[in-house]
Amino acid sequence: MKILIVEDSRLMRKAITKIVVAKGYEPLEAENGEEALKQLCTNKSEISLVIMDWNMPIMDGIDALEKIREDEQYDDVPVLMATSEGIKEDIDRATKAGANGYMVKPFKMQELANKISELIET
Amino acid sequence: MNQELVIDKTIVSEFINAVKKVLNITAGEDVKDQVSYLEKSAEIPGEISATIDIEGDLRGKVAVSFARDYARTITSKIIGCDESELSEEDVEEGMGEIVNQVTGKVRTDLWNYGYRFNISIPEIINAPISQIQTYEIIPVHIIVFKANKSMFAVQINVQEKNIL
Repeated sequence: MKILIVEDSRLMRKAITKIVVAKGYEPLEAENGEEALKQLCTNKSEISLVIMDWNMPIMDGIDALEKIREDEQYDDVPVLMATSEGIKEDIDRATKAGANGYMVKPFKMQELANKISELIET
Repeated sequence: MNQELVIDKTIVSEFINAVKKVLNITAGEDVKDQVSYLEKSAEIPGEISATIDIEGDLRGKVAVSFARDYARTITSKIIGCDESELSEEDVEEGMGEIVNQVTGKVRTDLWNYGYRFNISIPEIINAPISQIQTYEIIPVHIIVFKANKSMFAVQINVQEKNIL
């Protein structure tokens, strides 16, 4: 099973990749929302979870989330927002747009590992 | 700089709290705020800096500046790898991630006080805080923190929009 990590920070992609690999999943990476949509299109049913940052150049995470949810073929793919955008309005907007989980940075990597399990197992 | 202008204590306090929390959660570091400066000084530590711009009810620039070795230590803790595995680019991105998470947390916390602002993508500058350009009409507040093995600095160069 593959997990798509959408982050403009190469460092954070590296940190999240470590967790994803440790949990036995294959990581896929995208630097922004536009790349994420291409990865989804290419890998289609193989992706079990998308971990999405919000503040990214070219296409941000919330726009990418909205586009993912417009496409029925991705209805079953959970999206976990992992972002520094932590105000209630942000969380509400992402939830309305179809996010399945929301983590506000800073968080411990173990919390992310737990959230991955929770979202994929359910 | 107009010496009558100072940064609101609540804003400074939120930045101090955010720095402590971000470094504790992401890198397991316990840091303490040691001393504050209201202008640039050669005594302020740091070799590599990351800045982020703020725009909204609060406007200006925030910067963090670390000694290069300490930046490498912190970055390795964020990723969970050995320091020798890190490239210079990794270390620079580590600095960017810290200023991004600190300012993001302050944005969240100050929302409760009525401040609405957005933050930019971080920029890395291979220089200490003393060489970072500031907005001259906006006051500067620099806080020096003490960590276990190093000192580092956070520069807040922000002001409420309605004061400008």
